[in-house]
Amino acid sequence: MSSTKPRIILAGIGTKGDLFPLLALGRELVQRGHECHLLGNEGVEPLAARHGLGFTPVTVEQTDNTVNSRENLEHHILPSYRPTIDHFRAQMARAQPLVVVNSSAFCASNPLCEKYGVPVCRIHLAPNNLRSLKAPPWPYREKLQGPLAATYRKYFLPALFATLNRAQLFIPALNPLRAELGLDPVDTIPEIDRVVRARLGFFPSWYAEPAADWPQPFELAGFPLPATIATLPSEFTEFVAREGNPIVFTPGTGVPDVAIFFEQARQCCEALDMPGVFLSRHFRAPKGLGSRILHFEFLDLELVLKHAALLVHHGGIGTTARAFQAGVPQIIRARMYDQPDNGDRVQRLGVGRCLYGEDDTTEALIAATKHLITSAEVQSQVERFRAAIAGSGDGIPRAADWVERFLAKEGPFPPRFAS
Amino acid sequence: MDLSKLAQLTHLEASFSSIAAAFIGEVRRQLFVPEHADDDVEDEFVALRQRVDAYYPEFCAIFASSLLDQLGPERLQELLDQMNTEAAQRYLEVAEKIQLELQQSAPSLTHKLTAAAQSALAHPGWSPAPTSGQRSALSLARVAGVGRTLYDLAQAVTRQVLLEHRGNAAEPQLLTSPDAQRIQGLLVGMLAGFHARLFIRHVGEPHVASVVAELDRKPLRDYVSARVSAKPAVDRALEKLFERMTRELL
Repeated sequence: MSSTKPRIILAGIGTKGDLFPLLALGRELVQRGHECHLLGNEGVEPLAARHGLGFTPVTVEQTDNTVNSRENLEHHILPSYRPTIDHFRAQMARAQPLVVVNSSAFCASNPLCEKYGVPVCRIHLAPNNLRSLKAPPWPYREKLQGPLAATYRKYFLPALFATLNRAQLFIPALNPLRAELGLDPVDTIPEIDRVVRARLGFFPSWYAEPAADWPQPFELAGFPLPATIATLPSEFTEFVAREGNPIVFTPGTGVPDVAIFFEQARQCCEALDMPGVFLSRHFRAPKGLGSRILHFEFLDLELVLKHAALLVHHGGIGTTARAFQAGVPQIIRARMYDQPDNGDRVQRLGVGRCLYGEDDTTEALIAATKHLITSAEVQSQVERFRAAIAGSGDGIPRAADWVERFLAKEGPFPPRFAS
Repeated sequence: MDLSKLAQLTHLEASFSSIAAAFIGEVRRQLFVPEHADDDVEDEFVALRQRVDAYYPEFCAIFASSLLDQLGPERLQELLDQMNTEAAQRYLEVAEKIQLELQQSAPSLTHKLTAAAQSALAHPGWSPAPTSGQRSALSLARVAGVGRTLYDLAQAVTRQVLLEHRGNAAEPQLLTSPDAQRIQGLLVGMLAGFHARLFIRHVGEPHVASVVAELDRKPLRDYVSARVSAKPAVDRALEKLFERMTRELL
């Protein structure tokens, strides 16, 4: 049975925070009458089904986002290749046009799209992985304004990006799989990405101004902020009514030392005489937290932040975006990946502080909290960006428009049946 | 304590200059800057060197403080007053350069020492008596305060070669066996010879005898001894200073 209407494959791997934007985009596209299928980590199947998406798990669930590159490669990325290859082979038998929307050069869908002539639309969830000499990620943005600016621009950053592009763990593991698919070996990430035909940033231009050397074509959709269908428990609303707007602390997926994170949070609340809400599945609340601190395994951030004085988190882009949306100042206790870059952007925009490395102490947390909840300038800035988001709305419909424009302009995409 | 007098008599400016050059060299290496970079980049490094030089007073203070800890203010003052001799000054002028060249040569020396240790291990009975030249070189290394450095390097190479040969790091007698002692002695002799050649080249052959004689008596002997004792504290303080310089300058 064949169809001429393209099937949209959404492919991504990572924690739920990495997959939610793809799920939300899939839901929007399904509502617009498209057929969508998600390739992702185990654990999101119920959500995919609820949103009307087909789903194929290609690797195990990722609950720990602090794993190093080798572990991530061995436990998540490489295992995703076989199931993805099988899925594409089955798709080819259906002789239905395909388009792939994926979120990384590491996705197994890239070589398969190359083999079968399927175009890739690439989504960038955060701006930090765009290797720009004009607007590099933290900490190099600052270096380009510093006393060694020419050195960084002419020598260091090109060398750094060249090294990153060689992906010395990933590419040697990828090439044997490419050979099985009858594809020539590659040496760099840009060679893998030759299959990408359009790119979309899931963030607004005031968060990351597009740089002249970003790969083209590139559009910005704004933050993906789909409306929730959840509700808040009465325990929370009664707590807020009694204690006032709390500081919300959430360490995000897989931060290993949640007990320390929340002990520092408790000390912060105590020092500032503020109520606190702790959100984590991995925290066992000890006795003696007191009546001014409440712990939940999960609450929808969109709803909770409407009642928050401040958000303290690890700096994932999704959580960062929700604080902007709610007009709540934020403290980012950054560890890795895009987190320090997000923290730096939040700090530069005047809506929060980034605590990183040796600067991330309880004393610094208390001082930053005190400043952020009392500063009129900060309140003015958070309100400015809240209004900007309220005015532009959720990025998901714009992302769906982008996919549809791509289909209209570039499609249909009859698969090329390579040997 | 007159800090400028201390700096002048102990040639701290030369020491700092070597350290500053090493710092800049490391920054260039880490930032992938070629030997001959574009003019605007070279200009940045000229400016960086000027900012590094602003740390010279702190460097002097670290050095002075460590010597004061070792000697006390009166003894240090007394030593400085007595160190203004031609031979002492000739040595102090080059001491840092010798030390630096010794450190920079460590990788190539390690290669040669490893080959020598492997050869000695293959010939268990080979244990030549030290020549008079070797004995003098060992004595010079001791009075110049580098004996410990040479011994540590020889021990590290001996340990590595024995481990590769026997493969048991936990063996308690690994470095105390007669074989280990024999190899280590040979390597220390080689290193002392290398140091002596450096010493002669930097001090200048006509002045070697007078400088060695000066090193072997007070006040220079006590000063060198105090510097050796102060080295761990100085190294720790300099490490912190470099961390701060990295944070503040880069």
